[in-house]
Formats: sequence, C-alpha cells, structure tokens
Amino acid sequence: MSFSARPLDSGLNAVSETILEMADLAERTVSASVVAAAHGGELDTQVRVWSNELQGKYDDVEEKAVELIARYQPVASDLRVIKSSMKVAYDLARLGRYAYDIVQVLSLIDRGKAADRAFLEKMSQKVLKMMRLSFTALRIREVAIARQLIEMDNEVDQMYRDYLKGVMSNPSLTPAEAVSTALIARHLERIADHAWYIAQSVSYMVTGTYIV
Amino acid sequence: MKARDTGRETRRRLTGTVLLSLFVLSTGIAIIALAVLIMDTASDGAPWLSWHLLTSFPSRDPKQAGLRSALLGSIWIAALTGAICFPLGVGSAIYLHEYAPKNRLTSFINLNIFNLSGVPSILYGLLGLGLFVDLLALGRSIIAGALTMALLVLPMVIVASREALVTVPEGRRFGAYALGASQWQVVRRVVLPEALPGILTGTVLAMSRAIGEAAPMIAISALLYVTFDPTSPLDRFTVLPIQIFNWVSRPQAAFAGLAAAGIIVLLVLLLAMNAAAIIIRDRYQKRVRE
Amino acid sequence: MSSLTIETKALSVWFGRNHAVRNISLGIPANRITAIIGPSGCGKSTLLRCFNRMNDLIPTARVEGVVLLNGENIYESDVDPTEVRRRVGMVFQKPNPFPKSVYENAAFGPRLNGIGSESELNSIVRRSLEAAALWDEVKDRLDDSAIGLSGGQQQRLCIARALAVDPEVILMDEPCSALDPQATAKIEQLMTELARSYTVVVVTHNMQQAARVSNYTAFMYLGEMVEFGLTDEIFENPKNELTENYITGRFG
Repeated sequence: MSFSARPLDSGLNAVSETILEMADLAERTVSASVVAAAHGGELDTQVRVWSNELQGKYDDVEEKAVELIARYQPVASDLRVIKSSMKVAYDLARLGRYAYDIVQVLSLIDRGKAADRAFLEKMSQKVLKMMRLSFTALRIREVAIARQLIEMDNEVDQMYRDYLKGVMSNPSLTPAEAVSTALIARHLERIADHAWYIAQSVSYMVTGTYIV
Repeated sequence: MKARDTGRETRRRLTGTVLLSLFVLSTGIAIIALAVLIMDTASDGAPWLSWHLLTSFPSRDPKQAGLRSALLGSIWIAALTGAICFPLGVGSAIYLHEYAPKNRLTSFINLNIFNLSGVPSILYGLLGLGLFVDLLALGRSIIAGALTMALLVLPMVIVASREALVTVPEGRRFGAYALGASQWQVVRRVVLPEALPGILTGTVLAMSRAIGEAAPMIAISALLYVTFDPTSPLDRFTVLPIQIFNWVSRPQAAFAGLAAAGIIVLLVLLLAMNAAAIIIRDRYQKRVRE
Repeated sequence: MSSLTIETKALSVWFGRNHAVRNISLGIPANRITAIIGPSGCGKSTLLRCFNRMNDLIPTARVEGVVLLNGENIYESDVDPTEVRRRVGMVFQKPNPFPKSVYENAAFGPRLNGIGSESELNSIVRRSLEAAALWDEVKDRLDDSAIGLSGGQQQRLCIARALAVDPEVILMDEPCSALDPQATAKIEQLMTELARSYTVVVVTHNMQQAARVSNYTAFMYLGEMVEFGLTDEIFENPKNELTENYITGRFG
C-alpha cells in the first residue's frame, strides 16, 4: 500500500522542528549557566535572552498544536505526538527558566566567594549528561535510551538530598555559600526532573504508555 | 477568431437547418395524412351518426342499420379480455421478476415474451379456432373470442407489468424485508401498490388493442350478421371491425357512409380507453412523486 | 464487561469465488454502540448484513459459521429469517421510506405482525416516532406522504419504522452518508439515546463519526477483523499498525 502525504503532516513537521530547535537552545542555555556556576563569567544577560526565546517558542508550539487539533482531529500516534509536543515544549522552556534562575543566584553572591564549586561541578555534570541523553531520545524517538534516565534521576535526587543534609550540619560554610549552593543544587535537581519528564513523553509518544 | 470560423459555422448552421426542415416535413406529412384520413372519414360518416346508429341492429336497409350488436360485442370482448389478461399477465410478471431465479432460462423466457407480441394476429385466430372453438368445444362464442384476444395481448400486459415492477426501486424491497416481511408480503404491500398504475395502464392499452383487431375475430368467425344482444359469454357475437368490414364490402354507396360512421365510433371508443389509461397513469404518478 | 448481544464464530461469506468476509469471530456488546470501520470494499456492510440474514437475499451469497443472537444461532436450519429480521432491525444508507403516508410507514412493521387495532397502531406509531426524535415534526402531518419529508426526516422515519417492531438490535449501514451535517448531528444524537434501550451497530466510513459516537470500534481490512476494542483505546493507542495507518489517514 502506498502512503500519501496528509495535510496534517506539514503541521506535525513544523511542530517537531520547533521542538528540536528548542532542545538545541535549551542545551546551550543550561550548559552556559552550569559553566557560569562552576567557573564564573558574565552570562547573565545572554541566558536571560535565551530563556525568553524558549518561552516564546513554547507559546508557538502550544498555539500550533491547538490549531492542528481543531483542524484535523488527529488520532492515535498523531494525537500522542501533538499532546507530547506541548508537554515537552513546556519542559524545555522550564529548563531555560531554571538555567536563568541559576545565573540569578550567582549574580547575587560575590563572584569571589564562590559556592561549593566542587560539589556543583559534580552534580551539574550528571545533570548535563541526563539532559543530553533525554534530548537524544527525543530526537530519534528511542524509548530504550529514555529508560536509562530512571537510574540517573534517582542518583541526582540522592545527591541533592545528601547535600542538603550535609549543608545543614556543616559549620564551615558561610550562609552565602550554603544558601547559594543549596539553591543552585535545587535548580539543577529540577532540571534533571524535567529531563526525566521529557523522556517520559518520548515513551508516551512511541508506545502510548509512560515508563513505570 | 470570427473570420476563421465563418466557413465551418455556416456549414454547421446550414446542416442544422436542412435537417430540422426534413424532420418538420416528415412530421408534417404524417400529421397531414392522418388529418386528411380522419377528416375524410368524418365527413363521410358524420351524417350517419345518430343515437339510432348505436341502438339498432344491422339491416339490409342502410337507413335501418345500426351498430348495436357490434358495439355490445366489442365491449364484451374488451371487458372479458381485460378480466382474463389482468390476473394472468400480472401473475406472470410477478413470477418472472420477483420469484424466478435469475438464470438463463428466465432471460430466455423474458426475451421471447416480447417477441410473441410481434406474431401476426391471424395466427392467434387460427390457434383460437383450433383450441377454444373446437378442442375445448366452446363454439364460436364470446368467451372463445376473448380467450383468443387474451392470448394475443397477454405479452403486452406482461411486458407493461414487468416494466412497472422494475420501476419500483430495489431499496424499498430491502426496507420491507429488513422489517421481517416475507416475499409475498413485500410483493403485495410494497411492490404491487407502487406498480399498480403502470400495470393498469398496460392492461387498458391491451384492451384497446383487443377491440381493434379484426383478423383473429374473423378466424373465430364472429358472425357477420347478428341481430340479438349477447347475454352470456357463450353467445355468438360480432365486433366493430367486422361490422365495418362487412359494410365496406357492400356495393351500395350508403353503406360506405355507414362504415365511416362505424370507424368514428370505433375511434371514439379507442380514444376513450387510451385517455383512461393516461388519466390513471398521471393520477398515480402524481401521488408517488409527491 | 457487558454481555454480548451478537456473537460470531468463524463467520465467512462468499460471493461466488470472492471471499468477502473471512473467518470473523466478534462480539457485539449489549446496549452499546459498536462502529465498524474500514476502507471501501473491506466487507463491513456484508458483515453487517449477516446479523439480520439479509445476505440470504443475494443469490450468489454463501454464509458459513455461527452468528449468535442472545445465545441462539440465527443460521440454524430451522430458523425463519423473517423472524430474525423482526428482532434485528436495519437502516440503510439511502433513506428508503415507502411511498405511503408517514403513519403507514411507521405502522408497516406492526401490520406485518398482525396488529390491526387502530388504537394499538396509533400508540405504536407515536412511540416509535417519539423514539426517533421525529414526532414533534410530523405529528400534524401523519397522513402526508413520506416522500415529501427532508432527507434527515426520512432517515429518522426509517429508524422509527425499524423501532416499531420492537427489535433488540438496530443495524445502521452508513446512515448519515447521504445527509447534510445538521441532519447527521441529529441522527448521531439519536444513536446515543437509542443505545440506552437497544444494541446499536453502525457501519461508517467516517472515522470522526465513529470516534464521536461509538463505545466500541471494529476495524476491518480485506474481509478480516484487524482490531476490536474500546473506541477510546483504538483512537488513542491502537495495537495494530494497520489500524494506526488507517485511522491516521495514511491510506484508505
């Protein structure tokens, strides 16, 4: 049987393209904020611009998705893709927002009096890895990759909880250090969560079920 | 654009005009011929038309002669032929269209029924003579004549009935079946009511044909000189065509006028029957269409 | 899981050498609307006609297998097809009211069954027309010809006609394909109400209609039952790739 191109297809492609653009942008945004958290640097404005751009693209995706639903009454995988795209776009916009929150925290503290850089370096590496993995799963719509994020998310959660416990009972840290590091760690943990949600959406798109 | 088309356009228009003229001419000839015939007959026969003509028996004296027996005979024949043809014709049509399996035998029968109506009517006369008059010992009676005419016009009735049945859309039958109707219920309650106008029209037209045929009646040897009113189907009889024929063959000029008058009466009767057929058809078609 | 009004087991239909319906085993749940979808020529109308033995009227048709109506096999040799058709009503694609009055159309079925008393017929006609959401529009025109009604009204009259014999199942073969969107909407609304008292099976080539109206959907392709399930599941996450490709419009 030969498959014919449908009017819906161009709309679906447009949405997918925007999502992938958002993923690239989110990756840049989060990486930039992580670098700033680890080594300092003047990235405040740049990250804010990118975060706004991501928010704008999210609005576009949502509008387009609703238009496709109203016009074409999509079903089955088409419907799942459109529904997931809205969710993923939201998650990607949140990534940008948390990246912005991180550089905000940094701007409040003295550049010299760094936060617990070593710990943040370790945590952010893990989070970046998670994020990149989820984007790969998103780009090629591969559920197996998405599954790997379960373990990684748990590890990040654990790191975060352990650090909190430690920071509350560590006398050698100044309040600025403790608070800033804790805040940044929290933002990183939320970034990891959203990466995990994106992986969940990939699973739903492909199989119709969420990863348990 | 205009300059190039002028040649072709002119030729086309010319051809159209010539053909149109030919068609009008042929129609005109037919109408004129018919009109002349009717007017000639009318002028010859009109002086002889009177109530006396319709109520008197034939006589050697032209002034006394009338069509009474022939008229009654024709009416008897028409009525009986109709009465015989209607159930037989409708029944056959229903069987052939609704019940018979759609195989080659059925197609063969259908095809040949149509062909039967082309058989020369004198053959039916001879058949009637041998079968009804002699074999069934019905004598040269009205019933033998009616049976013979019934055979002659039966194909017409069957074909007309079948046409009427065909015009009932298949969807209505399915609708009736889907409600749990048996085949006979579908035929009786859905198909026949809708097909009835067409069937009646066909029957009336068959009856009008029956009045007009002379050859079979001559073969049955309807009496040429009848001076009594036929009161039962077993009586002997004569019909209008034969009476007209009889008068035409008399040498006296007066009888020619009488014959013309007879033709007028026959034509009036035929017109009346055809008009009745058309009225029936139109009245029912209007009901179905709305 | 509701009980099954109709159940088929290894049901096959041949038209001469053409194997139009292939070995279908299917259950139609009671008091629900089941839609049968599929591309043209997949056999869905033929399957539908098995449920009220209308295929018997087609000379070249041959049916094998079992069709149970509330547990009884309607193709048993001692079963009278007209009796089956009283219990399983049918509405056709093109409205086919008889060229009689509205009243006579609705009263046709009961008259077949021998009901002759005027009062009884009056109440049956009224009930059926009300159940078909047509009473208000025709109550002053009962003696007018049914052919004068609009397409949508004619179709509802055909539904009323089918309801008048008090069936258990109502089969609908693309009932809205000859109607405009407003008439279609009225009939879809009617289907939902009818499902409360009857089991409804609808053949449709309009997938949005199947998605709007039905509780269960059966997808047929080339005479076979490819997938059957809850409409919500089939339209959100079908199990079979063929189903997915059909309902997303990639073929057919």
